Amino acid sequence: MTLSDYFKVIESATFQLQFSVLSGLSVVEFALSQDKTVGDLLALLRRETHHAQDLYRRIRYLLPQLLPENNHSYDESIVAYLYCLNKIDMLIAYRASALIWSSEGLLWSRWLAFKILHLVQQVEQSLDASSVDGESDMFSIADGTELTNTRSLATTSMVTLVSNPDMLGSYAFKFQLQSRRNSETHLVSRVSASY
Amino acid sequence: MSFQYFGLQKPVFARNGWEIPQPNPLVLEKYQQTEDLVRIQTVALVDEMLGKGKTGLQIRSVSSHLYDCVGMIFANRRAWIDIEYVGQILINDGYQPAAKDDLVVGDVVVYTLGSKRVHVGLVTRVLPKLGKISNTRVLSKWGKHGEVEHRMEDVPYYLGKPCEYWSERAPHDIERLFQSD
Repeated sequence: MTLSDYFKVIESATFQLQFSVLSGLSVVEFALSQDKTVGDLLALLRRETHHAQDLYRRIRYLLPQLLPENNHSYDESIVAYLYCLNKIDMLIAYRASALIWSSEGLLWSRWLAFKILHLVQQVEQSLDASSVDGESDMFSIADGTELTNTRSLATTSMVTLVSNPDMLGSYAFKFQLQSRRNSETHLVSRVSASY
Repeated sequence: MSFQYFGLQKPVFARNGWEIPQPNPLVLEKYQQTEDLVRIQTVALVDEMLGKGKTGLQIRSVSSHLYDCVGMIFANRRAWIDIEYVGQILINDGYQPAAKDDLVVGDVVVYTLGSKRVHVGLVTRVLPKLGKISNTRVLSKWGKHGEVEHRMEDVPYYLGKPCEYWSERAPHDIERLFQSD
């Protein structure tokens, strides 16, 4: 199945109805973890990671359609997409959560977005509490075309690991790699400054 | 995950004084539904179930007020209470496990999917068995949708299967019931 096939299934009334009957976020997440379509979509996203951006774009496309007269809000579709993003790309999931949080007419999606934003906030606070080197939180390095902030990368990695304990994969590795690069750059800049 | 109570919602207490956790009100504040929308969605859901051969479903009511199955039974339709707390609520309210064959009107049925509690319903009628099939009727609130009375086993797939039966009747009431049989 292609990504657009998954969109069709997940945005169908049948899919939305079966998840709309639930009574708690933990049950929604559990049911999504049991759903074959969602499982297959996750597998596709893990194989072809660039689709995470497409999923984010899809959420952005669906959000303005939350009109009461539409008779369904795509809430269950959006929560399924956010659930998948949260499993594979925390940065995009965080961006999507911020977008969803400012939208009206959603229950499950806002609930999951809240959980993600809340978790990020907690990690940020714990980093604040544990930070002893003010310089190390704030400095940024040039990495190709974009600037990467050490703090947000650390937060992202920690949140990803906390929310997906089974995923000791790409982000943990990316974080280690990035931290090493940061330390090296930091060291170089300190050495340069001392001369 | 349990959210911190921010004091904007009305608290709900179990019989022993334990405050039942509620979702963060910030999560629910932007979710509003009209009665018409709930009605349309509930009818669509019932039609879908009827298409799968589940007959005898009866919509009891629809409401724009946001409450769920746990809120319907334990908070008089006033609150949304996450199903994950149903076990603690039953204990703190003094409920005791009951046998499936001893259910009476007012008892509570807990539904599980795998081993996870996913739904709770209230027994409304206990009718004679249809052959080997139980004919107990249950009132449910299906998530955001309306209240539906149905045969105990006839619920949407993700609401699982009836697995646990609970009653707040005192043990001597239950014994008396058996003696009268």
